[in-house]
Amino acid sequence: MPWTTPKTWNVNELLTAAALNTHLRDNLNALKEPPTGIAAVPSTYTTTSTSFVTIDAANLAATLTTSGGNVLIGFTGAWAIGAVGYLAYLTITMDNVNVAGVNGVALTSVGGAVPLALNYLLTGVAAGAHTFRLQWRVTGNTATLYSLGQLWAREVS
Amino acid sequence: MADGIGQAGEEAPVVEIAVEKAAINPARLQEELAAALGEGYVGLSTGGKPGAVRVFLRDKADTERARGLVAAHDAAKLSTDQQKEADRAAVIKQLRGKAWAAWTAQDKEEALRILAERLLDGA
Repeated sequence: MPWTTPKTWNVNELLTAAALNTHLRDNLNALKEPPTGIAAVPSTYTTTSTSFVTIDAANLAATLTTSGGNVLIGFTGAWAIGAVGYLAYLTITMDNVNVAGVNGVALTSVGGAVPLALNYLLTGVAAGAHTFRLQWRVTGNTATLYSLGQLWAREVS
Repeated sequence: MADGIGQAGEEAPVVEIAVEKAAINPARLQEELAAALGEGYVGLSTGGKPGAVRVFLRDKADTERARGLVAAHDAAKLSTDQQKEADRAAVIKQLRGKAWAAWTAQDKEEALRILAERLLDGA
């Protein structure tokens, strides 16, 4: 049930079932179950790309239909860069556009698997269907994202 | 490394192609594509779809050449670093089977070289 901007009630206004259902029941239901998209990391990935490229457009994507506002994107998993002296960067895209800048939201610089946990608040998202994905790049060597964890996106306000 | 922490990276447009290939050695294929395509090569990705590799290029004109290189790739061949590691492993295996008293000057030289490489290069 999508969010409806609550109406302003007037003095002596007749409370109708329709209005109460729309503005109280449905909005409470919308708050209980806000638009959310979830995707598990289905396999292990590697990249040597020095430009940001999508990790998996088909399978590692969180899609939701928002009412317009802020979306909180989260990811947990584990990743590695193949050798000391190189960096791996991770960024977030919305509808195939990088929303987190040229250096993204996370990086790793050590040679060995490390936990990756991030939260990113994206503000001012227009109402409608949106798909969030992860992209990554390296400064050299090979980055690996392991087959565990979860990408999610949820409208929060 | 190519850039430092917090330093903006290059974000030129990237052409992506997916190539079916039953088996690859990513490190070796990386070397082959980089050597053949030079600056036009951005990198490769694996995972998600079994039996396929995604190759990233600067120029669409390199698409067919890249497909040909992937098709010709032999997954059994080692990359430069993999070959070095295999050579080192062979030497270590041979030395492990030998008592110290039986080590020749060349054995000691090889062991010292391996230790020095690991110390200096992190190999």
